[in-house]
Amino acid sequence: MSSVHFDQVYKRYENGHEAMRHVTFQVNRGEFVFITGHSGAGKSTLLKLIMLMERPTRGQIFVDGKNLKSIGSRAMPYFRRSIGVVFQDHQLIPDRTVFDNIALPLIISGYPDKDIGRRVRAALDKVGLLKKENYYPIALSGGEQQRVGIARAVINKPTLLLADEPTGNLDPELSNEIMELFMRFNRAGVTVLIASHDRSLVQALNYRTLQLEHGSLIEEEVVA
Amino acid sequence: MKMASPLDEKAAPSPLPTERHKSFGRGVRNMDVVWRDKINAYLRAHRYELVRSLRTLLSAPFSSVITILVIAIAIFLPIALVIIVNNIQLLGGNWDGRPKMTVYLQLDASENAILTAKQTVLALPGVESVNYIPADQALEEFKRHSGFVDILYELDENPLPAVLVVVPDKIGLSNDGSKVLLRQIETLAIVDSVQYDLGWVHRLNSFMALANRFIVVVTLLFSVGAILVVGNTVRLGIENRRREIIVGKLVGATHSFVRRPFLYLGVWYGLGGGLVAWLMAELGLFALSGPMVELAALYQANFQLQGFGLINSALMLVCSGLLGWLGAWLTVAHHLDEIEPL
Ligand SMILES: Nc1ncnc2c1ncn2[C@@H]1O[C@H](COP(=O)(O)OP(=O)(O)OP(=O)(O)O)[C@@H](O)[C@H]1O
Ligand SMILES: [Mg+2]
Repeated sequence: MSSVHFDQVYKRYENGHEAMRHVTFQVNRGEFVFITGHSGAGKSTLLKLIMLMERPTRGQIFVDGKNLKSIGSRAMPYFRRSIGVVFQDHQLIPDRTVFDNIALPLIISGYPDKDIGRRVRAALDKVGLLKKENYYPIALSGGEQQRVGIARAVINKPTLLLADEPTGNLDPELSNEIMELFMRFNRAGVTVLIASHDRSLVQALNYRTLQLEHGSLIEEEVVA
Repeated sequence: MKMASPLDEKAAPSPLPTERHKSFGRGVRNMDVVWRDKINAYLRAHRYELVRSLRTLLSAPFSSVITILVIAIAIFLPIALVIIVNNIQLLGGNWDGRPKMTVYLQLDASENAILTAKQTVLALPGVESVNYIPADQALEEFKRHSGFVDILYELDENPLPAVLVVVPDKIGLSNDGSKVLLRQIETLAIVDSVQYDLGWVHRLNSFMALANRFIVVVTLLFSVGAILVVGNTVRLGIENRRREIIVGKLVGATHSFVRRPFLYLGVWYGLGGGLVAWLMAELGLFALSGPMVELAALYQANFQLQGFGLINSALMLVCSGLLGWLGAWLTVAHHLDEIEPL
């Protein structure tokens, strides 16, 4: 069964810009897929459409078989909790510590304190930031902020993980480690969609790649 | 960097809370457990915001104090008015809101004649009840209630007549009925004179009505003021915490989750303002009570300033909290939906 299914999706922003032109594709459950393309090709738009930050102008999107059209504003928060998202611009709360930032999805879902502490520390451990749980985001490097975002994205054990340029601020060594982390999640059954324009990284990893150009899906490379 | 397998935590995923079951649930579970989870998660969420909002308040003590003081002043004024009017009403003496007719009988009237007259008066239209106060009792009461004790002890004869206190009903209180009644009683042979100051009663009545209406208007106006102050402060809070709101919405916060901290903030402001206003009122009463007792003593009267009372104070605090909540709610309803992640 498909995890994400785009059916003739067309998106025009309010200013008239066509960011997505009749895009159709399917990502199966448990797949690991890259989305590539030049800057402004529509990678972020595609991910935003999946997590309901934007709605398509035409066409349909299904996530886990559910038509996103049927998800109204009341159901949206619960839908978002089932997806982990790493944002291109991190989206951290500046006046909350690393720990509190990562704990936010759990607090929102109403987990007991003791579970929160345990799970946040496990996530911090995974991204190598255990010693910085009491830091504020501003005191972290770009790469460290990125990793906080990753830890927050996986804290709720999502079945679908979206990452927008997750290695954008990382040196090659660290970005390999982060990719390794995503692959481990993927091996545990999580569907992973990563937007990246880092060609070398994408090519090195030999995964299925959706290439966007000016909002159109121009190429589907299925390697290996 | 340690690379543990991401999903292999030893402990099983904790019983998953709440709302997740709704549309993206993971199968059927015992209904009781689901409900207990929901209630627990709900209480937890509120405890969390309760603590957080208090911490937010204390993290900017200066502006919080100013907001609370402004609200306190807005709440204090109506309270002060209520207390003042209440005390004026009490000062009005044994007056229980209804005027009475005091009928002084002839000094030499016999007990029998008086009792007959009492029945006669009771039968008149416009009379609800008649209370007979014998001369001795009248003297006792006079001694007790007036400041002239010392003089009276020097008299050996009772200078006071027996009195019939006539409580009029609606007819006896009306402008025409009262005149007729007065004339009928005055013409009785046994009656010496009648005191019935309807005009004074009417004046006091209309003054009280006016004062009460004034209090209502002032209370309404200042409540609106308090609501606006809370609303404005909460609006600034929303602006300051834009980032937090957006991120919350991005990771699945419901409307009520996003709203909650601001509603709590409003309640704290309201409660804080109410509490300070109450303290101001009590302090004011305390400062006035000393001089008041001295003043009363000068007239050998026994008058004590009445405060707000326990129940009224509690009620006032609850209302203050509600005002704060309402102010926050109005602002939040207006501003929070505008903030959407882009
Ligand atoms: N809210 C918006 N309103 C109008 N146009 C937008 C909006 N968001 C994005 N666009 C436009 O849509 C196009 C695709 O944007 P998008 O952010 O999806 O690109 P991208 O592939 O993620 O680029 P990058 O690699 O630089 O992040 C861009 O040309 C952008 O200008
Ligand atoms: Mg982008």
